[in-house]
Amino acid sequence: MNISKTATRVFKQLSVGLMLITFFASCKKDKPVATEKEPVTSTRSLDMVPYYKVQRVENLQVETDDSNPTAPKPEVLFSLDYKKMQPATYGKTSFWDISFSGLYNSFIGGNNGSNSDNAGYTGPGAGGITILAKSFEDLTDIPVASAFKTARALIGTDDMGEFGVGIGWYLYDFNGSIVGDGSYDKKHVAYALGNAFTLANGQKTQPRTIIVRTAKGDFAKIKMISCYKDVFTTDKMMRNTPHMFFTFEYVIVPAGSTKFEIK
Amino acid sequence: MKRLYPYVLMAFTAIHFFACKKTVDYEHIVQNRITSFTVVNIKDTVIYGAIDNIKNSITVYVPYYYSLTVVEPKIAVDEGATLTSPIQPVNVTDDKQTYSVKSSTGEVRTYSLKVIQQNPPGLSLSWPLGNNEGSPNATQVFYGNLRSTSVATLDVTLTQQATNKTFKPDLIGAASTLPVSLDTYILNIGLLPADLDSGYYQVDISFLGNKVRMDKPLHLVYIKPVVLAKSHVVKQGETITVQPAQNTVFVDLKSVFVEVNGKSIELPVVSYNRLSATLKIPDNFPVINDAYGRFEFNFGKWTPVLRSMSITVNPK
Repeated sequence: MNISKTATRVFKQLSVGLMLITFFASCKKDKPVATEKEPVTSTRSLDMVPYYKVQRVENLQVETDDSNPTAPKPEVLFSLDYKKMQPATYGKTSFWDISFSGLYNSFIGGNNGSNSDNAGYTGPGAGGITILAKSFEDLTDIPVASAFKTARALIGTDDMGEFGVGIGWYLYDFNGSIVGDGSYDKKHVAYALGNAFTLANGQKTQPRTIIVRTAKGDFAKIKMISCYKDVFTTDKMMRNTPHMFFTFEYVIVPAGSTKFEIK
Repeated sequence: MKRLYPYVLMAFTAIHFFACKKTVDYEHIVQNRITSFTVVNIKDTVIYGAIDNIKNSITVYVPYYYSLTVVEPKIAVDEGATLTSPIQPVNVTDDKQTYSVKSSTGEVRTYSLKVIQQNPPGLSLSWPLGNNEGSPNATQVFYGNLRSTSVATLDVTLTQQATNKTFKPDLIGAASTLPVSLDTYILNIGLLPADLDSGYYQVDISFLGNKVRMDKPLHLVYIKPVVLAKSHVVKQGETITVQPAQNTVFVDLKSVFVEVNGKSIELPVVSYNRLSATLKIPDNFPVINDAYGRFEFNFGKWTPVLRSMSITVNPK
């Protein structure tokens, strides 16, 4: 009987002790363990130009040789996103949006990986190019996808001048008499058509605006202003003014946009 | 007191069972990892890079048949983390490229990129039509089964046999390959250096990880120079410069004459090198406007080189 009581007491004390230990040793409620979430990727890095803001490029120089003008020069790649010329090794990448090639590197094309006649062939470029007879300011509607052409060297001489190939970004005045007074200095001058100006016959030109689907699928409109160094008005463009130094303005809007907006 | 024991026991039993489970807290993982690395400048597909978060490296295997000169990466990082520098295309031969990822709490992890070109087993090249003759400032080509249009991995060394000096053509922007059939390409290594002396040169070519020494040495010879036509506008007493056409260089230029209005006038050679010559317009040169002058250049033992060029000479 005594043994039984003693055992009972010991059991009770042990039980109480065990419960106390359990109580105090029990854990705090843990915070939930962080679970890994889906990775995120930035689609527009800080070194790219912002959407909806007009950019200006002045005197972008490309190689020319007046003594041998028909010899082809290396195609020049330019990134609208990064606002800079890119090396030729970037051909099969999405790091350029327009190229300058052909005679005097004066013909412009987009970056497209599907067209074998494009420096971006087999690359990821999804670009294209077209041009409309509208001013930069008035052009607000983005054309349908089928309007964009994908080969290189598509936009160049305009039918308003000599050797025109449709609507182009510049008027070539072979004899110097379409825009100029026919003098020696006004012969062989290329006039950018981004802004309207008056011809020798008194007519006013209709401005042209280039529209580009960029390599990454955004849209840009471009106003070509000059291909002469530090000269931005037609009266100062002369035969021997240093060339080819492209000056142009552009704005980029995101893929999927239907309108060009400037904010 | 005895009556209390069952209640105390029940209370502690309840506490015991309702106490939370004990969980082991993992060591905090710093969120500064690259979670995916893909090469996206290939049509309709991508190449995945293998990310090693222990060695902090990314390995990309590039099959030669994609003919890539650069790889354009697309990189994803942990939530809240950022790359510390912009993503740019990387040359496939670049072994110095690194990427640093900064977590939202400031810890930085730096990965190194290894681009490994998966190359064909061999390389065979031959001289075009068996002709191993070339010239300074001239384009040199070889034929062979190159299997790639990318020249990113091309390296060419010329070793002059007489002196054992080595030369490297400037491949930047000049070298190219052109497939002309399924198993024949033309490898264009660009212009041979204009200052090379005539003689024999051993040619060693490395391409896509394979090296070849050409079976015959390059036999370099000078050919009769050709002068590029250009218009000159100059004043009496000033100088004009002329250049050779591609494929030729100026060697042993002795004298230059120009015939204007039926009269031959010597233009003294002020200086010249392989790629340019500076000629003086005499003080008493007749004033002419946009006239076509018949130039005569006398090089070494070659017959005179004739070239008509527009020249305007204004008074001093």
